[in-house]
Amino acid sequence: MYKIKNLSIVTLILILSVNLYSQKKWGLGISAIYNLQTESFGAGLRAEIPMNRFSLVPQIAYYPAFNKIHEYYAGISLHFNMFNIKNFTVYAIGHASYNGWLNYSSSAIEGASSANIDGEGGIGITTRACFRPFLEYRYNVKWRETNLRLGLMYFFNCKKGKKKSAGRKRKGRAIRCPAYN
Amino acid sequence: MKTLKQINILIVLALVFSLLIFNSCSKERIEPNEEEEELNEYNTMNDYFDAKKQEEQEFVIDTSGTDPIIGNQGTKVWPAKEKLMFANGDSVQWPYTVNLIELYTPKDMIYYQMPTIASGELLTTGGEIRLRAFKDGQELVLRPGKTWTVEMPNTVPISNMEIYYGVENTTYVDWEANPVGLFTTTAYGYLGNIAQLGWAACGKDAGNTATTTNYTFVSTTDNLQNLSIFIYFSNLESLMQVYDLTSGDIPIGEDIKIILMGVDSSDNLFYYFSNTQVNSSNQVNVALTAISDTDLTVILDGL
Repeated sequence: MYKIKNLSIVTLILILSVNLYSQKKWGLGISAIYNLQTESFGAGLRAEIPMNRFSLVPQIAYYPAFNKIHEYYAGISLHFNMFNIKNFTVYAIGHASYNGWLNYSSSAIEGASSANIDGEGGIGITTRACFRPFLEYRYNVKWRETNLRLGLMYFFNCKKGKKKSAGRKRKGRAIRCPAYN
Repeated sequence: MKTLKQINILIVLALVFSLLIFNSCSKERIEPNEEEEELNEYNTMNDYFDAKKQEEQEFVIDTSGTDPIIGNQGTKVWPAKEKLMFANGDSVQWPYTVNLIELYTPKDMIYYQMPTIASGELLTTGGEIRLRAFKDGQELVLRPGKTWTVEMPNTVPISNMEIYYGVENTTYVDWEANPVGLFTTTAYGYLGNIAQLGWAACGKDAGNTATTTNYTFVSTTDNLQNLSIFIYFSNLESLMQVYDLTSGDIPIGEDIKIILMGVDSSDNLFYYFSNTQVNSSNQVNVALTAISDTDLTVILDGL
């Protein structure tokens, strides 16, 4: 019950933070996660609030019980857009979260606990459109585990890129000026 | 602009470098405990139980009479030669012997590994006996339609108790109320007419209607494979033995006493005991500790 409450609070913060920025550009997205060390599959939900080159990304993740590790995370990331390559943006990730490890009792780790605070660092790549697929590679400092996240963000209040040629398009061949014939 | 690009490249390099340094990845969370590979090993409790269990009593019947034979736990049996026969139907002559085992307490049922389960259902028990007759080493049977009267002691007998017969299979003795027969309550206990020699029990369906679960026993310290595991339902007066580390159906919310017993290679006794209530979780994680014979007997007496 306590764990569900935790998740609910973070989800609420996630929604509230998004509402605060409702007039600005903000994104909402989902992701599929694979933890390479625990061989666990998970799902994530996140919001993204861009602020110049930085973004605040509150997020939750859940690894269901069919995995070897049954757990959830609720936390916030800071993204720093480092550079662009063509249509892609490469960003650095710093992340802090609360980790609820639900089946910790079956672990051999001495002093394993259901409640943990984790930190993650990583790198990600995304696009700059309104629909933004993203791929992240993150390292969990506490558990010394890496995870891959593949997801999709949708940005609200998103202005589509300007077309290269504004106004009416010319049709057919250009008309030559008779004066120069 | 060039400086900004250089900073970005430096950040990427620093990130990759730190990831490489940190990337001493660990599978610690899913790796089994090294101790698991060195679990404490136990032998079965069979020898211990055999040394402690109720002895089979032998009565030589060499004349007719109206008085019952009485076992050392108080079971009364009225044997009748004319109701006996050899397996081929031949009549029996005096003398012949009557063998009797009496199990009235959870402790004695545990020592004999005789739980009170009928086709997977819990039975409230008023006791179990094994009644056999022999002539010249051959086991005798009751003639069809004939019965022997038995009376089982009980200070607070319950009404509508049925006669159950033990059906031996490879692992355990199952109980069946076939042929159907009832015990009547008396000032002494339960009075009934037994239609088959062998294992017989006084019992009735525990009448559980609660949702059930199954407990699986696990341990990170002990190999549970050879242990004797019993669950006693104190309110239902019923005993279940656990085979292959997973219990039969047990009603959620019921008061239970769980006991696991084993003996190590040096004949030291080990146990796990829990006085608890059945909950919906289906795994019981146990760790055994050493116990003396006296203390284990006290626990079994207290079931």
